[in-house]
Amino acid sequence: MKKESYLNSISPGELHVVILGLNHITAPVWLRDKAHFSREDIRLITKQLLAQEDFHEIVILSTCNRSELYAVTSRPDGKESVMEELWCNTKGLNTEELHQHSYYLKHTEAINHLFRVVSSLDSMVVGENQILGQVKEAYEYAIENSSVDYFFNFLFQAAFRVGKRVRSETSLNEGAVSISYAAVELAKKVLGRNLNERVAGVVGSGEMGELTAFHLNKTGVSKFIFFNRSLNRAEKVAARFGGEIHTLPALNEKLCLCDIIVSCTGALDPVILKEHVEKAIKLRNGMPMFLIDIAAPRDIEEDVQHIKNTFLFTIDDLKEVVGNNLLLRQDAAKTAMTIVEEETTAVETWYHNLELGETIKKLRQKFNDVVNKELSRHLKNQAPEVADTLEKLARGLLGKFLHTPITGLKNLSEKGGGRRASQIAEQIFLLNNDNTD
Amino acid sequence: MIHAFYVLSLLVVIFYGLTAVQYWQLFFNEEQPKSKGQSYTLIAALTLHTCLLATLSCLNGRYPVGTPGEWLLVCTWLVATVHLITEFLSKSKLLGIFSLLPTFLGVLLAVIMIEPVSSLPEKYKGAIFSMHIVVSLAAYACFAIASIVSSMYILLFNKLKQKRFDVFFRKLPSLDELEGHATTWVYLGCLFLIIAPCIGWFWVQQHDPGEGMNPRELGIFIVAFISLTVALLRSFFNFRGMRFALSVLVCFVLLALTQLLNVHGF
Repeated sequence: MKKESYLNSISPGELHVVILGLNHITAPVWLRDKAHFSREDIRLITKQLLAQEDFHEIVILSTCNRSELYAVTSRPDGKESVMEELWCNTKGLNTEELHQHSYYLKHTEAINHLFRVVSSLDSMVVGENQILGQVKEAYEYAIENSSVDYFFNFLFQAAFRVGKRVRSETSLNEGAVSISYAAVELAKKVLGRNLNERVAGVVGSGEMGELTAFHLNKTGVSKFIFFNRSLNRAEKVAARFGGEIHTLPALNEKLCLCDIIVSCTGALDPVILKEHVEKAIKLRNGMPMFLIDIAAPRDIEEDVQHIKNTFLFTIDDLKEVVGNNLLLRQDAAKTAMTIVEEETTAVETWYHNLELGETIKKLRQKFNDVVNKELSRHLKNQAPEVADTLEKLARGLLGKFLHTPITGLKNLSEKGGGRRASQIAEQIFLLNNDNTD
Repeated sequence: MIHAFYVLSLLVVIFYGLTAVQYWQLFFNEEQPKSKGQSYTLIAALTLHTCLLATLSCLNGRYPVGTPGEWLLVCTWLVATVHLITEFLSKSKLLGIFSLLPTFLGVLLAVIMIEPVSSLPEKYKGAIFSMHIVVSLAAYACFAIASIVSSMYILLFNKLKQKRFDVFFRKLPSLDELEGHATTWVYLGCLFLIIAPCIGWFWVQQHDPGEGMNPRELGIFIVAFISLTVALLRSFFNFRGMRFALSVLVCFVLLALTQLLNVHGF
């Protein structure tokens, strides 16, 4: 699908990264759903974009909360409408609506945006871990479609490095930020990271109970006991996660088997009493028990928290944990932002050095042409030995003359002035002028 | 050589001080970026600590385990080393402050107590006696760490009971993990605690043949037996939770009390 070796005909200095996208901040859910790309859409759009003259590399990212087209183009201005049109045609969107809810970013802004995305600074839940995997998937699919080359290979590898740095150097992805996951985090704090062998009792099989069971299951809990007033609903939940089902009266007897209890019935009076838990703890020989009451009104008697080796938490406690974690993530986001800025600058420097490389190549070429022209003019009637000596002298002098300006340009580039160095060289040596006289 | 001793003493104290500050910041400062800097400072402190022990050996022509100051210096070296190994194995530095702050204070006290040149009777200069002291110190280091971990358990247990979701709640490992760590250190401590008096008894038989078990050795054996029982009860009979954590602390206190029994002039 890729155009052949576009880098041979275009200098890196002419290349720009652009992004056309929409996300949870800019677009409503219905539009995000409508604009979402399937793998087939991605393949099709990539093919159509690469068929256009100025598009050289394409990566398309599409998740529940964002759809973005990343492109390397040699003419970034005006490409927005081309990309928008293609998007609208493929997904049957209204151009005006897409234009109103999308963003078009160029170069430094685009690079910075990609880094913010992989760091999950731009996610709906800041610090979530999924996005890094999703960007990797998009990049791998682009490789499969042969729509990435030198530029995006470098940029996306840098992006993955940023994602890893943010996750390892900050606490952005630490701490639960949803009530059901906070319950699991608390359970881990009491019972350890490995919950595989633990038994979870879910009292009441409503939406919240099912969600907590889902998170527990994801953490490794595979032994569930579901208690519900009617067995029908419990059967459905048990079919999803596996485990025993019982009616509420069996709770008293089976309580001692559970390391974790999640209660969320709609009962008006407590269903788990202090005496039940005391009896269960006795039978468990002091093994700790972790209880979460996410019902309103409460399902578990408040006095239960005074029983030894018993940890009782309510929905208010979970809200507090989530609130604290969100505040901490805000703090960590500042550190993460510094990393993103640092890495954006590093990529910018790399880009300008690419430009400088091109400038040095042009500089050498230009002076070589001058030397060749002069040599061909003056060596015509010379003896071969003399001609050889003169040619060596001319080329030696050229090397010596060019050494100082090239070193100067490289020094300037190392100090972060790659683009400026290129511009200076181009202006002084008229590098964009073909005249060698 | 004596100048080297003083310079190293100062550097060791400074580096442990720096380490303690860094680990403190890592635990309490939420915005502190994660880095390997803390480990590097600890490695530097440990290297200097090792050099200080070697210098002390050269100055006195014996192993540096002859005076209480030297014991403290070796014991803190063991605690810091054990912490560094645990840090690499568990890939978590968060407990560092709880073992390295006492290490810093111990080193400071040791440096104040130590006399660079101190003579000992010939019989205390041998390898067997030194081995006895080192194994004993290893046992104390293990029990010290077990008691630190148990204190963390009690702290986290209370935080959870009181529903205080502060920095200790967020940064300490789970209750289950803390209990597991404490058990490991108690087992290891018991092992050293049984070996140390045996080596000591062997040494006594060489120098004072026929002498029986002294009160301290007897005390240590009793503490070792109690500690081992506690650890076995935890492993096989569900003797867990607060009662286990408190028992570990009691064992450590009992072990410390055995040191009050005066033996062989120490």
